[in-house]
Amino acid sequence: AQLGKAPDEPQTRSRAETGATKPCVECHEGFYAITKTKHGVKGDARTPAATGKSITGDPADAMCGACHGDLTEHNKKPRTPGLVPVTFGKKSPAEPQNEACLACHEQGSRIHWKGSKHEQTKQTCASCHRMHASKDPVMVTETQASVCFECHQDRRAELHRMSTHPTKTGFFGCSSCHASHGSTTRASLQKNTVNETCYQCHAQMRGPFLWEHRSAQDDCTNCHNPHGTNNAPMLKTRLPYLCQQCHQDGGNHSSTAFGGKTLPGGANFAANAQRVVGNACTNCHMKIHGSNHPSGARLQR
Amino acid sequence: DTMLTARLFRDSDVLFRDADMARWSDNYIELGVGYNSHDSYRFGQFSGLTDKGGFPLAGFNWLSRDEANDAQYWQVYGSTLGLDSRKLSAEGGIQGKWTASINYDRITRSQWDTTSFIHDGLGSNNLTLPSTFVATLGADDTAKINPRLRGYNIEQERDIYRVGLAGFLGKEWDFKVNYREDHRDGTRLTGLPYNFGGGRAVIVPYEIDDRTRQMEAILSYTTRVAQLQVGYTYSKFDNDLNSFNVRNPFTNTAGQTEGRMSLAPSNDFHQVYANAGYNYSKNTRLTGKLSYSIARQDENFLPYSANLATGAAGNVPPRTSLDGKVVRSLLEVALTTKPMDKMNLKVAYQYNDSDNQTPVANYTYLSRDATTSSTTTMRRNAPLSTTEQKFSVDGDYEIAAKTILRAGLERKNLKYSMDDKLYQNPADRDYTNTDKASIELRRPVSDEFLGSVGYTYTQRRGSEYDKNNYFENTYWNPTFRSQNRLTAHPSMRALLYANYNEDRVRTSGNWTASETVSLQGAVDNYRRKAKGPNCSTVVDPAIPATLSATLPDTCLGQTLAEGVSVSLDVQWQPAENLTTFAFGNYGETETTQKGRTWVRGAATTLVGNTAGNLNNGWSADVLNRDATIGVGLKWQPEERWDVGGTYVYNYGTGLSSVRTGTGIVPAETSMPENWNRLNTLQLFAKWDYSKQLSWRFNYLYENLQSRDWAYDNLTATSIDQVLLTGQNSPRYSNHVFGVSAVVKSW
Repeated sequence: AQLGKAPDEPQTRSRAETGATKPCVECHEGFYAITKTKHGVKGDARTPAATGKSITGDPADAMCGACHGDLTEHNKKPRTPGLVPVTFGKKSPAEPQNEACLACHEQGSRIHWKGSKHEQTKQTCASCHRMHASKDPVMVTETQASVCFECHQDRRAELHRMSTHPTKTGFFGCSSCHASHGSTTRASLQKNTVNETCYQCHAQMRGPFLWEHRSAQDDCTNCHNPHGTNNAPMLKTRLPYLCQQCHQDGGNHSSTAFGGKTLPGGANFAANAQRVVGNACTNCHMKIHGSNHPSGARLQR
Repeated sequence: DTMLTARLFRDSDVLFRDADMARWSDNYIELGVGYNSHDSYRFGQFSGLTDKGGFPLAGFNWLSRDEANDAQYWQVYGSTLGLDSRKLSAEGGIQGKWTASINYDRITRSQWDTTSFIHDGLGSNNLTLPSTFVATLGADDTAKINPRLRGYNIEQERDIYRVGLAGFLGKEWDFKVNYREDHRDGTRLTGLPYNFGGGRAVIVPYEIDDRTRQMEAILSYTTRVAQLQVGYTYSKFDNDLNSFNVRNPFTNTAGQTEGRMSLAPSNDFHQVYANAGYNYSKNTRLTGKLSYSIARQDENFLPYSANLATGAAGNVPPRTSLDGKVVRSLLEVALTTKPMDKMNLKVAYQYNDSDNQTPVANYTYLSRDATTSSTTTMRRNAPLSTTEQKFSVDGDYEIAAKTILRAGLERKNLKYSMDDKLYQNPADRDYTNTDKASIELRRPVSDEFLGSVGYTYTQRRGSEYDKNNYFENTYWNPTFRSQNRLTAHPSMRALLYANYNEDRVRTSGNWTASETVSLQGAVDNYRRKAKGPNCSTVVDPAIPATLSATLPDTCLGQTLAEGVSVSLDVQWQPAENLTTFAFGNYGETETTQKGRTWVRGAATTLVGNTAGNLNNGWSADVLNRDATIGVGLKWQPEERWDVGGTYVYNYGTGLSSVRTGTGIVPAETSMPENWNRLNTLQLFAKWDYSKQLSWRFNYLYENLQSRDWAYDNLTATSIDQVLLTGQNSPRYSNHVFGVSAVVKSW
């Protein structure tokens, strides 16, 4: 069947035809919220409500079979396990679940689902989505992260650090950067590279600059942890030590050892404090993401 | 229900924002009032709740859907409308035919309210001082500086507008067009150096006023067998300001009265791409992506120096603008298949080329708006191009019921090339190869417990480090050039290119202890050790023999990176109307780096690194740790009441341990420990007065204490080289109360 194809056959069959004993709603009342969702819109020829077949004569049951398979036997013997062809949840195998969804949803962002990290670790669509709820939490920016944190618990802790994106206030969801259905980028990012992903909101860093800072040009995560750190602005390590992991030039200060004596009262305070306190190295080398000033080779202009 | 945990967790984090997920299902209008006990920029950093006093609570959600007939629908939504940070959106259309949407977000970012400055014009891109003002002693000239200090808060606003249109063009084709515009306004802190006394700097707020416009158009073709998505992305960044002037407050001897910093240049980005998938059979699928993009930047250059007349001799760059251009091409093909019933396999290849076509030229280097120009200090820009190829094979096999063994191999080859090879420094190399091997076992230990353990080994090797490590044509200082002075220490192994071995172990477990209790836990541990000729007793062959004898047997830069993260979640539902949860996480990252204080000398001598002075080495271990715990409950004592609360505690520390060799006098010591402690308590209650009306009561207490040696115990004039801001590490203690009426659909 092709997506969007209107059903050619009748959507309901009588109980006499199928031997069904009662409508699904009698046992599964709570799941009927699905009729209030996009899946429940009969006017859209692509939905389970439009394409499914009712086995009970109750039109509302039509969509159940569209995803769960032929429920005739289950309806006859509701307490016998194993009669529902496709069940969703942790205790059921992933592939039949996902096949049921991909039958209609393999396009768009799901093109790269097969072989994606989530698919390889046997996650299912129902691991994250609530198909029967009229509002799916993972589709709402304010509540999305809480769904991801069910498995990515370390990311939840990082959110409470001193320097983070505005996720806690509901303006920044995990999908702002990540394509959870898979992509061609490591960590399933939305764009082709880490930097391209970051430039969606930070286009001022994109350049190209006259004087590039190679580390920034290469990968923003060389220096930043976008999930949050205690070193603002989301730096993996404090300055000046972060800079000194790549820069220890001779004849100037970048090879100097900076420690506690560079702080007030210390023997090296007068000589070296300016490279340690305040913005540390970026007190002077502030164009750390690149400079377009013709005299900006040392990222000071 | 694990979602319930998630809902409760959000309650602790979202300030009165639809804490009860059930409300998402309802059409509602919420109106109320709140009260914030104290002023604090940090507390209201992203919420906009920065000021003490009352504030309105307002929000709504309304969805109308015609399920039965023509599938028309519309929805409007507004949230935190009484605060500076807020959201508004509207969407409508005919499902399956077309939809249109419009969104508006305002995000404030209040950074510092403890900063002070001496300049006039704060908030603009031209900071001035009275012409008579000169801090003759430097930044610690308290007599002249203190009388001029005045507070100015650092904050930004980002307004985001989005418009979208999507529709279907027959049964197999559909399209989407999305437009987004971000407008940023406000100030951020920056340093700006001057030449006085070997270098002085000020920290000041610079003005932000820019726009980013993004448009994406996607056309899709979809059948069960083949899917194709063709897209075009356009992004344009426009900065209304190209520079930022700050009057030099320090003594200047050569007419260096102004400092001028370039601001982010306007730029644009175009990308066309295609994603495709083809189901060859039920078990075999081929996917691919093709992408071609151009990033350009051609902002007019500033003159070399703000203190020379524009157009004057020696103040005109060789080009009027950069004409910078980077062309990126990406190709990925992947095949996923199921060669056996219990086996899945994926083979993928990716080619990612970044061709930096920015023109190369020689630019005079006028340090910090100096007025003297000389061709002896010229610099040449060195646009870097890269080509990356990646090949990977991943597979899994079900070795027993629900027991899955996964394994994968990956090789990434990354080639670097620059138009100007002479610019390279000793840490550079022509290419690196990064190899990764992983294995993971997922196994149900019992019906209730599913566990997994995985190990990944990664190593990076590459070509020889660059030999052209002397100042040559790009640094046109004849002395340096003739003496073959080194650009950087030959032992430096920059993180970007350095050889390393990494081991990573991950374990996780999911235990459903009973119908009402479940636990999830995970441990992630990694250790990356720099490897290479200079990390052992073998000396890098790239280093001239005259230097070899004096080099240390260890590399410089990051030598070790380690980390561990331990997480545990527990959910317990002691009664049908009571759900509780708890979570905890401990995280630790540590990097070890080595350094050597040295002086660039003539010829191939490393002054300070001679045989008699090898004790100038130093090391720094930077250890970041944090522990987070949270507990929460939700209780429905009777049908009309919902009450609950959450408490989250986070304690983070940062310790930089520094050790120095005997040649460094006076010896350095470790930094004091930085720390931050966050307590968040949130309580809420909802009372359903009727089916249509609920009352909601909220209380939030948040306390942050922190210490940071970069700011604490320092005033604006504490050091003579940098005029600081006097800012304090963040700390606050706020109580927020709220009461609101929620009117639901009628």
